Amino acid sequence: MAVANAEPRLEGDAPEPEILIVDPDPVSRAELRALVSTFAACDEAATGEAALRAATARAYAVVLIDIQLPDADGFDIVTRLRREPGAKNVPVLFLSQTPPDWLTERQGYTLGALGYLTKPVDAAALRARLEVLLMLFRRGTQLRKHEQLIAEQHAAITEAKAALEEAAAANRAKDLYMGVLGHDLRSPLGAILMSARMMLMRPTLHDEDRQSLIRIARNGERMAALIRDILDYTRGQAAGGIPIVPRPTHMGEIVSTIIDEIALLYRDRTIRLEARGELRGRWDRERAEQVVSNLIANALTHGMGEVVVTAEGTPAEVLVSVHNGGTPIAEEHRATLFQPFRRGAARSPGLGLGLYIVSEIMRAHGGSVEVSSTAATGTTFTTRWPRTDAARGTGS
Amino acid sequence: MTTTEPCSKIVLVIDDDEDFCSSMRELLTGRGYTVETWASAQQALERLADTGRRPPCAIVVDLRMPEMDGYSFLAACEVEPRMREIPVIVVSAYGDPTGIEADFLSKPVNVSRLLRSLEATC
Repeated sequence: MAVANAEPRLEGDAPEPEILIVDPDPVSRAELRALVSTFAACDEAATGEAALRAATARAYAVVLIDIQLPDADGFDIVTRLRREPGAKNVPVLFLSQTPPDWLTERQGYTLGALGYLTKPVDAAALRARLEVLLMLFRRGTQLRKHEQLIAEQHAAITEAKAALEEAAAANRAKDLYMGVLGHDLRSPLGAILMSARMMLMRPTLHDEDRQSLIRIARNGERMAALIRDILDYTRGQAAGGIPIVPRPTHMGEIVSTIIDEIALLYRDRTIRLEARGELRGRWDRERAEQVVSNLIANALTHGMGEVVVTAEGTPAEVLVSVHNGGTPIAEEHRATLFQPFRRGAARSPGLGLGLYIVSEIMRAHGGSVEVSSTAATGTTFTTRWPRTDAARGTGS
Repeated sequence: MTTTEPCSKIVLVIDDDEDFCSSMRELLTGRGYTVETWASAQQALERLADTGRRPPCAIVVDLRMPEMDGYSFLAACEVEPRMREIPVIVVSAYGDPTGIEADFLSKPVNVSRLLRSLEATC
């Protein structure tokens, strides 16, 4: 006796069975299977219990069930089927040897049966009914798949939103942290540096005291530059570039101010300024000072001998270059010199942000920074500061 | 409020950071300036509004202060013609001059730069 085929199937193995044939007679089952198998796969059951097991294990488009089963009445089986959560709505077609009387028919419809088929079953009539049911079943399956897909997408979107919000919150916290850290570190550092510089400006200073003050100031300047770089990098990342506030300013004055400040701390080194041409324009003075200061500090730290700073005005732009002698920058470091967090092997401690920020400041001004470095000519960083139309051509 | 050296060019320093104020006093006194330091921008405004007192040749103001901050101080100066004439140098450890018209110096203040800015205005 054949039993219900409720074994799990591998996907792609065979079409999913969509019709359950419940009939105790093997010949009748074989006939029905032959009829149905041209348009759908089916499972078979010979007893009511087997039918129940099969129908609760998977969803069928329709159950074809003989009203006379060896172990139970077809109606009883359908009654029990209706109590199963997974099978309570499955469409049922009853099969019988004889046309049902009106009482039997009513009993069947009460159970939600869609109709009666009298054996021998009319192939065309059966197929017509089954095809409608199959179509509805397949649409239902499709719909559930879509619903599931939508639910999954919705869950993914919700998850992504949460992740974005989390990232934004972390970003805000970072900005706040950096801002407070920068500010709260800078104020006391400012007091230290200012005091040290003011003492260094005193004409009556013992050499030993001067050396100590220079150490304080140099190290303080390094800390200040590092804090500034971190803040600039963080803000630049958040704002898509370093913000600048261009105003009328004088590049020669900027360069000489920075040289004065730095020369106080490097008394054993010579920093020479060569200025020529019209040096006025519209730039962010603080940022320009930052660029010049950074390049001169680099030249003093990494180079040897005299540092020459040149400021040269041309009609379209002002060029500021900083030159030093000594070992040139290795070829392999030159390509990544202006990238963030890149440091040459022999370069100073820190984050490797200084030259990146220089290039960002130049970019914000519509200018550029370039480097040339050879053993024969030394190392020269050249910054190009375009004048705005308003500043161009002003007399000296 | 603390004043040093009468009858010279007056510089108003407004900052709640006492160390900055005393550094400024040390730096500028003896370089021909009289330094008035104020920890409160509100009080400094009242002093500036007092027509009986000599106006300063420059104001150095911090941005971040409790109660009235530097931004509010600048806004208040803008509406008062008497104050609008006085050059202002903004100093800030926060280092973001966005939206500030006045001369801007970030802390740690470049001393040479500050002296030059004052020379240019006083």
